[in-house]
Amino acid sequence: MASDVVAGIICLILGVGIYLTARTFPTLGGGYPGPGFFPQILGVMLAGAGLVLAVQGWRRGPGRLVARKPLWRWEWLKALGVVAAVGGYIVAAPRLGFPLTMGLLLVATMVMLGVPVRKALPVAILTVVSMLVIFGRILRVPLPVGPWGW
Amino acid sequence: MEAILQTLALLSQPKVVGIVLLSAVYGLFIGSIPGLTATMATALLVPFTFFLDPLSGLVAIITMEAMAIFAGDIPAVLLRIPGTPSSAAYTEDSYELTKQGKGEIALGLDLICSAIGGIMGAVAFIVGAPLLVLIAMNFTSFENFWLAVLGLSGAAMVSSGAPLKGTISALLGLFLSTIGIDITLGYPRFTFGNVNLLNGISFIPAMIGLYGVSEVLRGAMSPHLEYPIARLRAESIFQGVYELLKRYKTQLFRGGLVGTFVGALPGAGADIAAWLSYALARRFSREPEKFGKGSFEPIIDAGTANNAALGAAWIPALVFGIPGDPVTAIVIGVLMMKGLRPGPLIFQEQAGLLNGLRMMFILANLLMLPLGYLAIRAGSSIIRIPRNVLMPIILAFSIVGAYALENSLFDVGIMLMLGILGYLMEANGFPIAPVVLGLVLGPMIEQNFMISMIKAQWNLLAFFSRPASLVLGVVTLVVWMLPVLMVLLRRRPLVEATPGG
Repeated sequence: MASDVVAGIICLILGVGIYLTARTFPTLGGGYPGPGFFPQILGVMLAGAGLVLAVQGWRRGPGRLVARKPLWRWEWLKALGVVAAVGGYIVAAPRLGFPLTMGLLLVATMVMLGVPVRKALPVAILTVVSMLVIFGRILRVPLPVGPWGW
Repeated sequence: MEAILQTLALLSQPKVVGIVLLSAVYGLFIGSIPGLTATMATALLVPFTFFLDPLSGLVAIITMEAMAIFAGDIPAVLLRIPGTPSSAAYTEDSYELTKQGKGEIALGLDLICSAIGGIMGAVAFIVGAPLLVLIAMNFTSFENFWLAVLGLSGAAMVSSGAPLKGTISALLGLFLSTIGIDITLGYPRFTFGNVNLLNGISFIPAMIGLYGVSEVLRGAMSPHLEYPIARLRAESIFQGVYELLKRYKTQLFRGGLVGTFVGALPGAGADIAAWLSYALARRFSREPEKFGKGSFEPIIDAGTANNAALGAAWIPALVFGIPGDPVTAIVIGVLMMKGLRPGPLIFQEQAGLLNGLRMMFILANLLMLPLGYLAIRAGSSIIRIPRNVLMPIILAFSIVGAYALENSLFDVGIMLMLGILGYLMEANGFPIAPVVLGLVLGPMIEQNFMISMIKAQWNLLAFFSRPASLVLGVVTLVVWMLPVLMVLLRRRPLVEATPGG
């Protein structure tokens, strides 16, 4: 995956960003630092730690990548599929309602991970029904409702 | 005596008994499945505890965690894969014993040692916490500031991975805690105009993301593996266990002590307790060459230590508000949600709740014996549940769990973001526990710092003016210097060795 150099540079940029943003925050009266004080310290420390990490990674050379497992493109797509499924749920749940959206999410992710549809479908239905009972009925969580009232 | 009877009556209500049994089964189930951690199980349990009274909610977490840490030993014996990271230290020995036809004894030993370790941790909590309360009562914002910084620094240093990466994780957690309305002027920080962020990053969705969603992402990316599952004769689980415990009673006691001590340190939970205990067991063993080849010693030592750490981790969490491990970080979050603030006062104001917790620590470990036995018998069936079916179900419960607290889909988004962050961090060697501790301790550090500074009119030396804060401050600075000292110590032999060739 990424090397320490990349991770360090990301931390450096994030730290500088936090520091610069926090500098725009108002201060307490009498010139005393206010809401920006703590984030500014954090920003400086994060940037410093990121810099050290990047330098350490650079010195070790490119041979020392952190995650060394070979990752095939298909596996990345599966992880992206999981992310897309949650994103899709956030968008679709208020429009389609909880049971349908969650059912679709379950079937889609299971099929993507290699479960046959004939097995994924009953598992999804069973899971959605038990969630409706546990969260909807027992815990009274107002789960998103679709245009058809469920 | 009356207090004990009252507490027993409280815990024997049908609702509480039901919750205890359900959370025990849940803990045994999650613990038995390789890769799923007790922390993830706690994060997914919290949405349920939100709807319970504080005692029932905390009782559920105590029971579930004890069971999960024990159950992590089951796949270690049957598959050579630890169920939770806490069992990793002695997985090799457990599986070697299985190959030698002693798998059932290993599991019987695991079960008894887990229960004894758990009870030792519970005793430490019962005896140790009130003593520390007496000290904590005298603490002011100066000491509380140092304590929180020390806790977080310790977590960054001892967590898995390099100290520098632990520090970065802790800083990220602290940064996340600053998002939202600030305490001094009520100024919205890093919200970028989004009203959903005014109250800050919701803790529970963040936890579910860091531990639940990241696990699903990892599960989705790892290739599907078929494991050969060893077969055991469950009826002979306890045969010979008594003799082994009698023979290795020093190891048992030492494991419990090490586990209790490590558990009480902020940030160092059951995993580190097990590893440290394993290292000590090997160092003092008469047969160190047998380690890794099917020795009972590491199982007794580290198997006791990981469960002992659980109860001990609650000591700093409840006395100082500083979590001993990620699970107690979640516990602090649960207490806050219930309007209870951890600290010395909770021991006076919530005596009934505290009595209930003390008794539950003991009861949960006793309950582990029969339920653990059943879990061992059902072990191979639980392990056979395919991961590609389980992961989407965990994802579904993560989504609804994150949503349920505030009925907010925005929180589901927070969960997803932190899930991706947690996955990427762990894949690159950044530990997650310091992020969680940073998130919990951030407000405590900042508030105590600002209060102290306003009191002392921005004189930084005031942080070293009281004896207790001086000691804590110096210890913190020493902890910060440790990585530098270690680098220097490591270099010295090299320098000396060079002239001689």
